[in-house]
Amino acid sequence: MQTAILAAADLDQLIQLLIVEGFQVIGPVRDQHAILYDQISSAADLPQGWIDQQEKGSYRLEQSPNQAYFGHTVAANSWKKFLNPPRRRLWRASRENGQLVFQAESNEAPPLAFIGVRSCELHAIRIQDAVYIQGSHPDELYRSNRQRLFNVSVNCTRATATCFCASMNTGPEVSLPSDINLTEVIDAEQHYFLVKAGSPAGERIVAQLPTRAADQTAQQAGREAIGAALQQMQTGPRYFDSSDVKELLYRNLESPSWDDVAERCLSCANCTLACPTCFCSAVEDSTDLTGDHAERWQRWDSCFTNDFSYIHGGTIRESTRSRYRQWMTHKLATWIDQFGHSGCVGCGRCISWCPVGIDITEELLHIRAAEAK
Amino acid sequence: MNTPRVLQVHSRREEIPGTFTLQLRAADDQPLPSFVPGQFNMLYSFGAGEVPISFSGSARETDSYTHTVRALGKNTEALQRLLAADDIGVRGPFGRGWPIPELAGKQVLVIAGGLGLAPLRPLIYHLNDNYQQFAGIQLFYGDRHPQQLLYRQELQQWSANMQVNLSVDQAGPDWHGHIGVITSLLNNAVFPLDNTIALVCGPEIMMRFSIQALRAKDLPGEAIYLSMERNMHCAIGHCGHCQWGPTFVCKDGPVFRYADIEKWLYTREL
Amino acid sequence: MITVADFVRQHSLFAGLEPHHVDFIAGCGKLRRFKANEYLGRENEPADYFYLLLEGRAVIETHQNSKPTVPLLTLGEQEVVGWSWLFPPYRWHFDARAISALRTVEMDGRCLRDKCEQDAKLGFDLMRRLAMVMMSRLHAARFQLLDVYAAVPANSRGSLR
Repeated sequence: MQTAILAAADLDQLIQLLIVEGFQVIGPVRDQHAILYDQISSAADLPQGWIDQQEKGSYRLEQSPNQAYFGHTVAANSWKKFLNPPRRRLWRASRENGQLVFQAESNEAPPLAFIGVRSCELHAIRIQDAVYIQGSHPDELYRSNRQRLFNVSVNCTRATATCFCASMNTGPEVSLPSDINLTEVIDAEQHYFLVKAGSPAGERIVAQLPTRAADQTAQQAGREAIGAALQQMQTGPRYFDSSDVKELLYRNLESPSWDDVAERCLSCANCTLACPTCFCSAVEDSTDLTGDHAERWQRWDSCFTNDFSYIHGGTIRESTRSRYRQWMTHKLATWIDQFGHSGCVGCGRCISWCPVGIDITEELLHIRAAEAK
Repeated sequence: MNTPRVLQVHSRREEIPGTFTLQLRAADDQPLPSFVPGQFNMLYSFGAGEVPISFSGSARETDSYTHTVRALGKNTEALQRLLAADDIGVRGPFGRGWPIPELAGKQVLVIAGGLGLAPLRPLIYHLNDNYQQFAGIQLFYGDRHPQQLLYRQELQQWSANMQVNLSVDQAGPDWHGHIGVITSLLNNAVFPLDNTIALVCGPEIMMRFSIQALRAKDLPGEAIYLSMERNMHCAIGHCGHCQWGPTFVCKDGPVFRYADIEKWLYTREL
Repeated sequence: MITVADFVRQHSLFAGLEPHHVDFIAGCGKLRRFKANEYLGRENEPADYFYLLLEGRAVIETHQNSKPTVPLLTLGEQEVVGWSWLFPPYRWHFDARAISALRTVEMDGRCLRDKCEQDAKLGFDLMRRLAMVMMSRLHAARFQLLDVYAAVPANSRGSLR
């Protein structure tokens, strides 16, 4: 489909069309001092005119010089909580006349539409797809959320300091399919979106929007805006060649760098919760006071917790050193053997939301430097 | 696969104090999915939690599942309280089992330590039932004390079709078998290096030491299989708990070929 | 006729030893049978001999508090019983007892020590072979200490949650 132009003032029409179609629309909102993904009902809910400045252990919002809707980068949370809720009941069981009966949970949530999904985040969703639905035992709730998902992706036209998708080859330009792809172009004279449908459902929606064809100049403006984000990353400190990272980590399971990072790491699990690809979960079984009803709940878990690796006789990953090594080596190395792609998309959330400012890209450099010694 | 199926405890047998065997049958008339020796089920006793337990019965019994369990924590203690006719929640079968197709024509060494004999028993049944298909069968079974030995009657029966070598760490003067460690038995074992497959199951350290004894005799790492144990919640590769290097023990294992995982077996706190 | 040298040659301890060394060593050995429950050696008694087991089984054991004996290790054919003959004061550390009828080659320790003094190369080779046996016994003893089949293995008793 041809690229079209949607005036910024008409963005709300896209959201209203999705609502009319029955979607629960999720997009970026400003919530106190951060941008989060949450339910929205109109374009007015979007954090227009706000941008984020992220650094190691630091996240600040500030007013943008312009009125862009998507001038910020990735939100503090990721989309994963909508596809795989942090806490959910898997089943209920009851004992009736001594007989055990299980009742599986069904998915009654409405279909979701995400608006403002960045390229790194599309990669993250694809990575979680591989975990939850591509094996021989798909997660039914995730699959049903995922199959009904309507995705409006946005090309990044700005990077914040923690962004390193250019190093992980996952952005800033959207390369994976989405139902509709947007590029926001804004300058002193004009403010519009380049709109491209990527699926029949996307085409149906776009056809109902007041668009006009995008000429060469308009498309060039979009490319330049994406190029600016790319250049920000390429000239920043977190631009590196990630092609040999798996071998690097496999060679350095006993690197002194792990001891060094363990001195700083609090084992708090923030990085795993902020990460858009971390998928670990735990189940909890409970019974009510009568003892006749039981439930199993699934909740997000983290490889940084003490009992994560517990087997009779003790916890296998007792030290913080081993837990950080597990997390980082999984993310960047063993994930490749498990699923054929890295588990890191370069979104930088683990860097910003680490309370002590541990930076995964810096740790890679440390390991490389320690090896070279 | 997230919701258990209701099965019924058909029989319960105390093997040794604290270790018991449950035989489970369908509560309805639906057939039970077949399993491969070495695979496991997730067992749920109402109100407690789920726990991965290997099959320990014959894969030829299509109308029941048999599991030998040691009561070691809250969940296995709840299983211990189950009696015949009680309901139980079961998910499975899960995981990769022993490499049965590769065993034909081979000298097969079955090496069990302690409760590790239970996950090997379905395999031993297969070997025993088809003993003529193999160049030879040698069972090495080490445990703590003669009174801790599992399946004592069957060990007797199996010795008709295979060489059964027992070893205990400690014994009273009335024990006439070997006292020492399983590696001593392996050091003296005779098998052809080019036509032998060894299958090892027991505490991780016992498996490492046993494999080292086999490797010292030059048995190739490609001919050695072992069964690993890690924390498991989902058993289908979603929860992440059982990750071990690049593997998920629940779906890539629990049975692994030694040559494929040697690096990970010797990495601490992995 | 099968000679002592033939049994020595076929025993795993001497596998691959040069023929003239085998004959040399066999000069220190003679065939000896034990009945079940007969002792090959007893704690604190002179350890003048050691034994190459050919057939049958023996146990290394000890006792404490006048209670029944504590068996530590059983040994069978192709294995070796005794190394106290190697070092002063040449006395047995444990009891060694036949638990079945036993056929052995009884090696005279003093004779062998003299031969090793005469031929240092043979001495080194013999020591290396005996050190291998001792290494494997030490490994086994440590393995036993770990008590790996206990519900709570020895190494995690301190840190059980």
